[in-house]
Amino acid sequence: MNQKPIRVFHYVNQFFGQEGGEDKADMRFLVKESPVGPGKALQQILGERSWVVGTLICGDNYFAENLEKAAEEALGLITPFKPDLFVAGPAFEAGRYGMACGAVCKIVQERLGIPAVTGMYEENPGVELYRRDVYICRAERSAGKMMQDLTRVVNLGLRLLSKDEQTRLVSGEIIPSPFEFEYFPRGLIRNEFTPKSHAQRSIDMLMAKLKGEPFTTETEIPKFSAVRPPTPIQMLAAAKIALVSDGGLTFKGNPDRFSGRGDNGWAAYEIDSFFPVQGSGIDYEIVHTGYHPHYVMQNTSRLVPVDVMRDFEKEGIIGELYPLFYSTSGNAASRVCSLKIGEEIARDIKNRGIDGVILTST
Amino acid sequence: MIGVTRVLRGVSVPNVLGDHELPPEREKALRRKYVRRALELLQKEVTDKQIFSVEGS
Repeated sequence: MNQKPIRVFHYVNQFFGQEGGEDKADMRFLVKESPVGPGKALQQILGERSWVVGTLICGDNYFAENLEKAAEEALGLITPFKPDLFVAGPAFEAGRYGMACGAVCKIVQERLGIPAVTGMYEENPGVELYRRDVYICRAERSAGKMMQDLTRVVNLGLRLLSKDEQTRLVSGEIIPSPFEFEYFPRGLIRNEFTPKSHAQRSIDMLMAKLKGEPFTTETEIPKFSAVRPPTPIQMLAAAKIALVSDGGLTFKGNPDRFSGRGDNGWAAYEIDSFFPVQGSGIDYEIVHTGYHPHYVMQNTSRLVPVDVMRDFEKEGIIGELYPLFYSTSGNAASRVCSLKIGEEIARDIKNRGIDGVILTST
Repeated sequence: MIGVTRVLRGVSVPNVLGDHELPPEREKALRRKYVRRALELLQKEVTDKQIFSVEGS
């Protein structure tokens, strides 16, 4: 059973590389042809079939201050070792270290075409930045459970290397389950073969739920929080009311770069110039691929009811039609983005002392 | 309903506060009716998520 040993290369920062602490955070790259610090534990876990053939050490500041340049430099130093597998960190909670681990794993897997795995605590900024590109195993805040954290990394790394085990994915790719291998889900969607059809799995789940038995959901439904209804406006005749819309109405030429679908920003337009009382006024554009814009283009009041609101203001029914109209385009926007836009517009509205809003949505 | 409490059902998706089949004055009267209802909801005490229609006081 002569199998070639697996060549593993390890990246660590100045502290785990035993060069020094914050005082050495500016140190440049240093290459060693053996495991260093946690690399020794790594070698122990890997056993006899794999060798940690080298370690790259770098100061957290040196790397973090120019991630791209440092990543390229690192690649140049790692390549001659011809590794089969690359391991970085674990970085635990250390932010700069996490960024470096993410960056170096990314460039290694892209350019050398080998699996690269690191480990971080979930609040490490490196997780949010790199989880979509890089396999980041869950790790503790600090090195207290180093062996466990490294074992997770090794298990995932070896699984990524093993072509002989069957993959359950239709595409034939080897993408291990994030739950089984305890890494931060990368946001990948793939079809997989399952022994039971979705109909069977649904009934199994429902039966378990009805019997009060445990079950695991395959997909999580986002929870929406209840918003306490704001207190009603007491004196409408004195109130400032603003108009908001997610119908994608903007200036012709789309200077605010709305996107017809997906996440967006928002803009506020002066009503008097955007919706002139008389004359042709501004040329409009609707940037929204979710509805047919024809009727609104014929008469924008069908979306943003400026005509009747101006009348109500003259008639004293409302105190004032606020002179700004808030516009965005809301077509398949993510919940996160929508919340952000809502909060930002709400903050602006609150700062201006506006009393109420009519938001029209297509 | 995603936690929103004052929702008024509009006329249609591409024509929220209008009706292209009506002559302009009648369409504007329809829009007045809808916006009046919206302004009413701003003055109304609400406790539950619900969708209001333009009918009703």
